[in-house]
Amino acid sequence: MNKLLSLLLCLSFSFPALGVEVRANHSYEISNGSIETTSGLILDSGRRLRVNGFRGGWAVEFQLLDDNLRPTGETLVASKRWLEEAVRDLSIDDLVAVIQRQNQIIESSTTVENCPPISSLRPEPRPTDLMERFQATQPARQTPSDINFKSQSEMERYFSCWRKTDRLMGHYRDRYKASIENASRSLSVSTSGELSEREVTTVMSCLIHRESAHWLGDDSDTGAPGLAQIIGDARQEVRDYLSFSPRSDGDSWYDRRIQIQRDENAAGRLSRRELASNIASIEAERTNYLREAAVHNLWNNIPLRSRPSSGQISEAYVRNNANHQSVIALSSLIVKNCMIRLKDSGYEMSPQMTLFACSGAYNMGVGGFMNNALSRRGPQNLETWIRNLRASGSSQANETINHLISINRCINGNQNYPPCGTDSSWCKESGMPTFNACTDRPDPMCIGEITRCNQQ
Amino acid sequence: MQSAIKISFFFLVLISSVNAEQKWSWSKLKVLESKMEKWKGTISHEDFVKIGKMKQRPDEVEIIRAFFPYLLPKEFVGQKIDMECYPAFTAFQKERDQENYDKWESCLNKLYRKEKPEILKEALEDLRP
Repeated sequence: MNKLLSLLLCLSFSFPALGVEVRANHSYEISNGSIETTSGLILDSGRRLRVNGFRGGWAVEFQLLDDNLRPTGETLVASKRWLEEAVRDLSIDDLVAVIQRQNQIIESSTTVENCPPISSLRPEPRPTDLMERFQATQPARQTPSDINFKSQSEMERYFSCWRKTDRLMGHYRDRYKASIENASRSLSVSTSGELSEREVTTVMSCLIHRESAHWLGDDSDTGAPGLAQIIGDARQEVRDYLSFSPRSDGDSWYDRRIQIQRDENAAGRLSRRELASNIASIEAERTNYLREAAVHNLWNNIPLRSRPSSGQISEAYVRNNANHQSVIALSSLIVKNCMIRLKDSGYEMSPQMTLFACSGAYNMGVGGFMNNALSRRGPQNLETWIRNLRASGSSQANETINHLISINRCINGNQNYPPCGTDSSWCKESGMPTFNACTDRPDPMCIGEITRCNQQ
Repeated sequence: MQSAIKISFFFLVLISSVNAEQKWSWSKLKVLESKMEKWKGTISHEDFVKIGKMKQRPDEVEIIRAFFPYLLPKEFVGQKIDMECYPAFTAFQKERDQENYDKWESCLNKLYRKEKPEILKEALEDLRP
């Protein structure tokens, strides 16, 4: 009885969300959101299409319809579920409107002595034009050269310009700056020349500047402690890197385990599926092992006055700003780990953009940033990340957007836009041009900046 | 009045029966694994790689990413990140004990920090030993 009731209730809740069940040889209009095709086109509301058939139960094959509701252009493919949620049946009104329009054209054409050729009534489809139109909605390519990294002196003036207090600025100059340079130098070396010391130092400085709330290094509203705001999960992550012990036989251990799995399969003790699953799992262990080894290696290569053990990395330790040298080094491990993960995962990204992405992923975690911000297709840039985050529905979206914009404003040379949420300005004293977010309207604007500007 | 109480009770029973229903269990995952493997067989490798580049992916792909990422093609964007916690998950699947659950959860926490995908949040809740 319970099962029947729950089924009934489930059905009653599910129906409104099901949308239209599309059928072959029927026409539809996109009326709710947009549709993404496997070829990368984004089809917005108002586009009409005719379903030609299905592919493997998961996808719909269709063609776009022209103004006269005739299929045009190449066959496109989209996910069935998403398409069904986005379309509505073409109504009889739509069809009547088309017929009426055609009648009007025919009537008006009969008054002309020399009738235009049929093709003028039924223009040839122009798929190339359609393609251009859709591709124009794709973001402009941001090449690595789009990041014009600030020099060390520019950065110091930037921090001074948007400083909280003289005392905190003094802490940066006298303590944190050298610690950031120290960790950045080793992180740069670990990239085998892919990233210069200046690029890494700039991004790491801007990241810690943002995380520490302009070198304050206090607990955040959410309880994240210290200069680098290393929360519980991140502390566990860095503890794992510190306690990592390399295997004496390197990663050949994984090869031997894989061979054992193959032998078991050959002996009939392991199914084909189990073999595939086990080998993939061992390969993933190897990937994790190699990544952790690289991060552990970076840790060993950062020169530190005092090197804490894994067990010492407590909340109190990372909260204590006297530990700035090792805490900043720990934050560089989180960035390094992220860079390896993204590099391994097939995203089209330069090392510079990867570094920038990892400063953005610092809060959200790599998995969260991958799901919510990164584009799965094409080059990555700040605009697409912001758009993706806005569409993600993530509760951390706004925070991450402002985090990214702040770091972007900080790292880019020839710019002096304030970090998001910053009001005070000592720019004249710092020898930096005075910029006002409200009058200069930097693009992109921070979340809340437009509202604040409108209130002024 | 009595009929109002009866109707309220009826809906309470309905809601509780739905709430009591767990979305993920080991037996369901076993069935799903076969289904997902069959589903994978219905699409070409090329199409699967294309799906990896899409935001609007079929539900099957999200299930595969969460529980059976070994079925993803190597060229699937983000495949290595999706595979990251798979060893911890398979160890937990084998032992089904608290220790391995904690390791799987810790791996997901490190990867996603505060905000895990909904499917994994539900699984962590439902599969807790």
